[in-house]
Amino acid sequence: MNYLRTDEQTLCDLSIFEKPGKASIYDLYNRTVTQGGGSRLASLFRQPLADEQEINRRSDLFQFFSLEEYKFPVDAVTIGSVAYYMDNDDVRSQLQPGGETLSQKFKNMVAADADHVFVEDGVQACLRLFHQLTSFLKKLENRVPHSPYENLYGSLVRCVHDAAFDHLKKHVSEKHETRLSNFILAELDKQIRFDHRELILKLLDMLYDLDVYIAVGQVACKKSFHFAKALPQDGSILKFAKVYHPYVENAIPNDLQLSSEHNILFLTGANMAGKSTLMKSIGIALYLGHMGFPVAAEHLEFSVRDAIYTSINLADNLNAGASHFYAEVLRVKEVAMALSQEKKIFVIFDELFRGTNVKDAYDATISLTRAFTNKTGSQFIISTHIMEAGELLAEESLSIQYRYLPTEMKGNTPSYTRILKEGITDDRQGMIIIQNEGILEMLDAGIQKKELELWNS
Amino acid sequence: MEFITDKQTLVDLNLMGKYKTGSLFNLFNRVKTRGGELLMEEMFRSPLTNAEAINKRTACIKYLQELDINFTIDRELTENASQYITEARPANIVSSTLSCYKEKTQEVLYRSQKFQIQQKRIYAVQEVLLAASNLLGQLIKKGKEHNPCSEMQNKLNRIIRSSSVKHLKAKYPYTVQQTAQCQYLFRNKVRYELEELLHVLYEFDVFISVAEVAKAKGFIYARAKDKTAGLLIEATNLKHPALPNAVGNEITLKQNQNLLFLTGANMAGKSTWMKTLGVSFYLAHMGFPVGADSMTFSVMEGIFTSINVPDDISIGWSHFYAEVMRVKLVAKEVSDGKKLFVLFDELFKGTNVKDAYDATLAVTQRLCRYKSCAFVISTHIIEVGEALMDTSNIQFYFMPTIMKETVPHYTYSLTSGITKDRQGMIIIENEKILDMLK
Repeated sequence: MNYLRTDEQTLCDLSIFEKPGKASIYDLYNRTVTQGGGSRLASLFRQPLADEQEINRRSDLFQFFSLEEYKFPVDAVTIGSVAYYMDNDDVRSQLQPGGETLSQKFKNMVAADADHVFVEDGVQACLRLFHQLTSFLKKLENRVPHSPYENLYGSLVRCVHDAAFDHLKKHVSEKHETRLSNFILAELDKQIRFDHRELILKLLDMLYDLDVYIAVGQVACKKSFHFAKALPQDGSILKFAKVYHPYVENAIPNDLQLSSEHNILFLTGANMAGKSTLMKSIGIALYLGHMGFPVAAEHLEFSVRDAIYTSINLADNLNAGASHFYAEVLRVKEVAMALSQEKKIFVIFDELFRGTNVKDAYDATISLTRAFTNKTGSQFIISTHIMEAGELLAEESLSIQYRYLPTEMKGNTPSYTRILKEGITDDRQGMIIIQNEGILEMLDAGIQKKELELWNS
Repeated sequence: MEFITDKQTLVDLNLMGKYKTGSLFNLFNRVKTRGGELLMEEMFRSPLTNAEAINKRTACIKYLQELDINFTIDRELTENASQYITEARPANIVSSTLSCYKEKTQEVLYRSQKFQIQQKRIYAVQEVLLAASNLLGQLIKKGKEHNPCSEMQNKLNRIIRSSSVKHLKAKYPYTVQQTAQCQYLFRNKVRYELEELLHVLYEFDVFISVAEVAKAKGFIYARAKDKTAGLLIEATNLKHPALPNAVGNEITLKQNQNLLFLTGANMAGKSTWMKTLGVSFYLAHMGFPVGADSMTFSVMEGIFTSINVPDDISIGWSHFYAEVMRVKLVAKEVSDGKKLFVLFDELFKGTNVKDAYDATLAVTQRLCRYKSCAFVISTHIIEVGEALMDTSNIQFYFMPTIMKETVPHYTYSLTSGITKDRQGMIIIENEKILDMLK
């Protein structure tokens, strides 16, 4: 199977996984009940797909579980106990059939034998699991035919109704925790943990998958996320409608479209106008789209990419002797390498070349952006402070779209609409912030006071 | 009066931190006692603010360096001794005797450790006294009669030669009676003298450790001045003390030339030079040696640096805003008439060029009029320098880059003027990025 290429930098920029003190995208979707489900979800996050059929198939599956309210049928304690029980495949821990001797009975009265308790807990958990599962499967019966879940449902049902479990199911009862005799316990222990081990493990496996489907589906339903549509890789379409950042409260959605005719988005805007947030929302949506997950957008259509590269919070590695600028250059080199191998990629560069002097940054931004216009199979979003670079590029007729995030001044305080507009902005709030803080006045007043003192003395 | 600085500055200059690699504290930390370590930490936390005190400390360290004292003291024993003398104070020799007999009885009856421990600690105190008298002996033998350390030396002398300490004949293991005597002596009679003695020992420990480092690294001692005719800082061949093979540079900041405007390409060594200045200035105010051929400075009230300002995402500050707030903090102190040394690296790098240009220009023009403060400002925006050319109290220097064919080389030696070097594009070309995209 083809996977989307990503790296640590991208995962970190988009905060896919946890960093101390930061909410992650993984957390947003992790509504799984079971531990197995949680780690399965994490591996999905680590390996987004790069195959449109596979993506759409998975996405349909999640969608099925987002149509109605579903709850994972087995409670966390039960499935946890089963997993723990199954982990132990040591024959020596198998419960021995045969009547208890008097001394054993006596011992059990005083304090239960640990091995015995282990087996009893495990078997009881299995019985509970079958009980909870059967009623869930029955509920689902009518909804499943002709749905994307049909096949998987079929194999789950086949597994649960396997003849091997007939004996086990005799002991499944409505009543909670019927006490089993030592003899029956030993028999069930042998069947579950040893005779039909493979089958039980397969069942658990399917349940973990189910856990993920339900968790993701329900997130889509509760947060009103929408499912993306993956298109074949040879195209170069990227269509976002009303995309927003899932973690920003009252986020303002934006529309965006990239194609082979317009494969570069040149983004400008003042500090704090929301450039980085917008770029992150786009990156996150596309990343999740490649996983077949629901995204924080009304509509997303994308040609499948080989890789996503972002460069949003590039840290300089002073210990390795690399300056910020050099770190940026190396990142750009990585992208250039992928492009030269005719890969189809999506790239986000935030504040390109901010670690160098203006003239260099200007030259580098222009020559690089110009070079990217030839790579019509890949898409780029580039933000910069150096609007002059945009102005020069705009004079040539290149495949670049110019957008900016505006700032509106209300008296002396800037306010941000966070809605993309066409063009290049020359909004500059830097000086206004300095003026608002009264720094220059403070310094002027200090000098005047001093001069006055000199005058007086 | 306290020396004004803040956490950001301490981090920028990498001053504190026993467990941080390359910290200045680590560089000088060759002390032998825990108390010495704490004292040194305290010195790092509060540099001095008057010339007399600074020069006095400097003279002490320098004197000790010349004497080449071999100071030995056991860390563990010193710690034990200092603990022992601060424990419960016996009222008189009778109660002391009683408690010692009690402990001895306990030892006989049920092997209580108390008596043993007490004996060991008394031994520790005696060892410390021995180390002190050894040190004193060396100071007297090698040194002059009147010297910068006389005051400390006299204190040692007075305590060690005091009759009660001098005539103590007890030897480990002590009898119960001797234990009681020592207990009463150390914890009651000369308790405060011993505390003082320990403190003087810690001080010697720190000074000797610093002197050792100064000798090993060839550091020199800066001269502090209170009132100077216009001089702020002057140093020749100044190097970063923690960097081996650093290239030395010169600096002279005077009241009528109080701002150094620094330019240079990436990696040319701007930040390192600023750190060198900040660190040396800070060390000099502590009375510690610096890496230079000579250094003279007028004592100031504080230092602020802004070299690696992080953006504080958790409180929603962008990088630019974090920088602005830092400049505001400095502006407030400066306009209150404080005498400060201020270092801004890459001022306003978090915003667009035009804003950065305007802001750097406006702030620099105003700052340099505070003539009792010294400033060093570096920037990528060399155009600001061109606009400032006519301002008489600004010095322009840059860190040059020399191209050997297409590979940049850095000399790290400060050159007068504003740089025209632009290696950014060359680095990009070296990495052959544009070729890849063809």
